Amino acid sequence: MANDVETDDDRKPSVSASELDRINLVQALRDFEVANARVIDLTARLTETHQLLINTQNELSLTRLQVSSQAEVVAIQNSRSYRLARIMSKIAHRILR
Amino acid sequence: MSRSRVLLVITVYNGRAFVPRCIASAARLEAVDFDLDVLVLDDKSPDPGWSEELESVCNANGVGYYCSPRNLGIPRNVNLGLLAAVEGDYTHVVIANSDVIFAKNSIAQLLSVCLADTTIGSATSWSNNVSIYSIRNEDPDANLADQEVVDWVGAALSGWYGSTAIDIPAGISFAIMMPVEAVRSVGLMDPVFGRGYCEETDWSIRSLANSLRLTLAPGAFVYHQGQGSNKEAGLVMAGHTSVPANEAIIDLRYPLFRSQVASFVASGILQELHKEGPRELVQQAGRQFGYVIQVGWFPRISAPDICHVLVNPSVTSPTITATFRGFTTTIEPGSDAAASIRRFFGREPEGLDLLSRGPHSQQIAAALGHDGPIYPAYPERV
Repeated sequence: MANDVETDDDRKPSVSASELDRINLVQALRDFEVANARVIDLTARLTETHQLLINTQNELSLTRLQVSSQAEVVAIQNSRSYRLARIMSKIAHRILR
Repeated sequence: MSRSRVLLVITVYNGRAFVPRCIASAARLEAVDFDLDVLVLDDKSPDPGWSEELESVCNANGVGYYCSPRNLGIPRNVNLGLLAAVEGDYTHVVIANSDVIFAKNSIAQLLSVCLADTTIGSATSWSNNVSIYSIRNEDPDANLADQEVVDWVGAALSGWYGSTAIDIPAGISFAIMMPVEAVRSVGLMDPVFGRGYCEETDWSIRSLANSLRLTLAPGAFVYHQGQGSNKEAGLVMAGHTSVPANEAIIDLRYPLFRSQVASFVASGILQELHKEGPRELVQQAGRQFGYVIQVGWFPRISAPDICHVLVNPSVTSPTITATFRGFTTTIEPGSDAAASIRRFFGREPEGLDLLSRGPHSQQIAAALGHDGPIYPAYPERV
């Protein structure tokens, strides 16, 4: 495992530090523009999604209410008193006819 | 055809313990038929006095140094390097972590892969630590973290694989070469990945969408300690090898990516590579540096620079395992274990340690004309 590679004296890039400063700054400004555009886009999506969420929650509440009302009706219909009253009503209806 | 110009960009964030080794390695890279420049990008390392020290290390090694006025995070620091390559009229750019040791021929190998096919958008180096592609090693830090060893592994793998390029689902930017033309067409890393991780996966998938090949270059070896800078920065949490929030972005953008990786793993290419690489290294090491045969249940590594061949004395299922610097392969025992080992290495062993009294010891001792003692596994009285 011989170590026979010579070191190149100068492998400094052709791009100078001041040039890198310029590239860095220009790219930082571009990144800022992109990030800003993304924030605006995401904020629009967030508000839209939030509105959608509120609408969905309202629909859900309404549906829950309807379902619970229906359940109450079914419970009443299944109760003994209701069935007894219904039978009595039918009998009364026949007698009075 | 014009001469290639390669810019090697090493991104640094702290890392006083390992960065000088990386820079020294980069300064001595072979560049015979192309121009190679090295640029160290210090991402405003907070370690007191380190940036000044790093600048003097770079000057001493004749490589470029630049420190950003503010911390950018890995993706934007990488972008600075990519832009430097674009604006500096380089033909190829290599993005590398600072916790690596380059085999002296690694950049030349990566370049030969990229030049072999103009549709290649990136070539990832092979390494002990390169995600699922890693070549397995028992203890890479103990066995491989040495320039001469890395050079030898690089030479051995380049001799076997040459300019082979294996198509992979995503590149890994620990040491990756991209033609500058590919950077122009695909663009930069997305800063949405914040301080880093997964940005190269995103870039990789975008490059595939641009009809560019993503490749692994098994002939270009780079030792990678792994997570050096990111652990320093507290970027990777304990027990994690990536950043879950960034993985979630990849899942959201590319829902098929994980299944594509699974398909690649199931293709068997990786298994073949994982088997073939260590086998080639162990065989070349045995042929070059010699080997000792041990018959016993456990190996005794007496010297790291020689190959150790362990013959398991099991009568029902004998196995032969050969090891060199943490790389392991198996040799088919056949009917004559000694002949199989000789055939594999093409030379006689340097030594023989018989640590078992079983039939294999007797057979191998007879085959090799060994008239020394056979050491019993237990003392005589037991």
